[in-house]
Amino acid sequence: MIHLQQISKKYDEKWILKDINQYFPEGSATAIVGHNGCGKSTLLKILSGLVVPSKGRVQYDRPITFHYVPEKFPAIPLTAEQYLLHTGVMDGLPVSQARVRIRELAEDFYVTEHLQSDMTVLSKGTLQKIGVIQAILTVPDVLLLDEPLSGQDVDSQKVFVEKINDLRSRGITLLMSCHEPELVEAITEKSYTIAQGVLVPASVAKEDRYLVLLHWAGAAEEKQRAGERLKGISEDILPYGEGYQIRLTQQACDCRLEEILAQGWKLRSLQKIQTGEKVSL
Amino acid sequence: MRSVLEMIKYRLHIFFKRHLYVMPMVVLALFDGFCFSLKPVHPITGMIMLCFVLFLIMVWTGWMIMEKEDPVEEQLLQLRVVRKRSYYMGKCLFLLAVGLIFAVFALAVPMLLSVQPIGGVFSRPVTVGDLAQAFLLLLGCSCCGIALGGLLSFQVMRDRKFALLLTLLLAVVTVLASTLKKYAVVGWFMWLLPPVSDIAEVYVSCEYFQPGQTTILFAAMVFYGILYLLVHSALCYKRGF
Repeated sequence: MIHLQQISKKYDEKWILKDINQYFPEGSATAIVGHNGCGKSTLLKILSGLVVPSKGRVQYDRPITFHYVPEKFPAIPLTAEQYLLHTGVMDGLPVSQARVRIRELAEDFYVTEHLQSDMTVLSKGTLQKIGVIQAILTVPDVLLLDEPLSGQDVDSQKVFVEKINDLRSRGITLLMSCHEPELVEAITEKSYTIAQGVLVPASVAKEDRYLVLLHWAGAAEEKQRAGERLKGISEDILPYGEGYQIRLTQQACDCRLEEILAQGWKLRSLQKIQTGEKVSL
Repeated sequence: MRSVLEMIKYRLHIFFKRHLYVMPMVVLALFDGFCFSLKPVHPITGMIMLCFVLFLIMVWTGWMIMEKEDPVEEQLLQLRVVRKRSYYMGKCLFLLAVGLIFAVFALAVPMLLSVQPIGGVFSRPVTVGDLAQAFLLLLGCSCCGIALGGLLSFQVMRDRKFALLLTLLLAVVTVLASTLKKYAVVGWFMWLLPPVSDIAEVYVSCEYFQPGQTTILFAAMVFYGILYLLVHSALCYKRGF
């Protein structure tokens, strides 16, 4: 569907992308991962024709409609509903149908009460949700996602994954630049990273992570010290009611859980929360 | 086509919500007030002055519109249409629509004064032909002004200070072109600029507008406006975001 031929891009005398040859077939779902500034967003924009490569060309099998969720959605001086109505009609929806679709998606993403608010006063997370809604009002050929989950709450992230997978089942092509390993796992089938300007497959080492809820059952005066000891076991620790919630890798769970329980903590819940991903070349 | 029309509506909506029209319209209204309070004013002289001022105001407006553009917002718009050409066509038509709005607004004061004369503002009665031809000239100035103001946008020229200086220079030279034409070297370059100053040259000693001359001037100014818009679109198309 999209064929990158010898794509190179230079910014300020520095080659960000070098001789990239890649074919993205119709219906594929691809993630581009990697550190900030490695050229992920630039590559997405070159794919869609927004940025012109310094060398090489992008070839499409047929005329393609792209929808795009930018990393930072702009605060446009319209109400969210006005903006979405305009975009819906531009996408070819009749006004009444666009209105219904906007209502449905706003409800799904918990932004119904913000529809009448001016977008200049919306929070970053809410703006990002509006950015997602505008991209999925209608079904495009290709959906470009540039860090789509930045600032979104957990419930909206789940809705987002559901909606994207629903679109995938309808045959859209997905291209995403992303940092969240769980999102890469949930919605894409191939991962690439950009190393020194070259697009290379990212080999993925999977590592399960668990959310552990603990309740203190020992003497009250011991609780604070026990909490300090927990922080030595995992840095990812937060107060949770009377106890704590900690996130541990599978290996840490196996090794340290017995020790934690021996300290006087009671296990309230153990839940697999994600399949982590270590990207390496 | 529906996408393009909606895009124009969207752009106009944003233009009004960003209040980009307020200051140019205030300046235009102040000029109208100043110009037509110097009674009795000759209808032709008044309209020529109004054309010049409207041209400069539209250069300013075109510059402002381009400066206030959000690149991400523009990227989203461009992707909404399958063909890039439709996106640029929508943008050009929007600028021309803004030009039309300002031309109507500019004509409103002299038109109202001619319909209901307040103590003989004009030195002679204003005819429908005067108003119609003045509107054409105002529309031509408005279109080429906004196109010139928007020519050197961020996508075309990254150095904004230089772009501003160049736009100002082009605007001033356009207004003074009939004087500068006398200098051979400078005069040769004048064909690059819209014939706004020709309005004064043609009508300075006329009692009435001449339909033939007005049509030629209008067509020439609209031609330059469209040409600038096409050049701007082609450069943006080539350079991308």
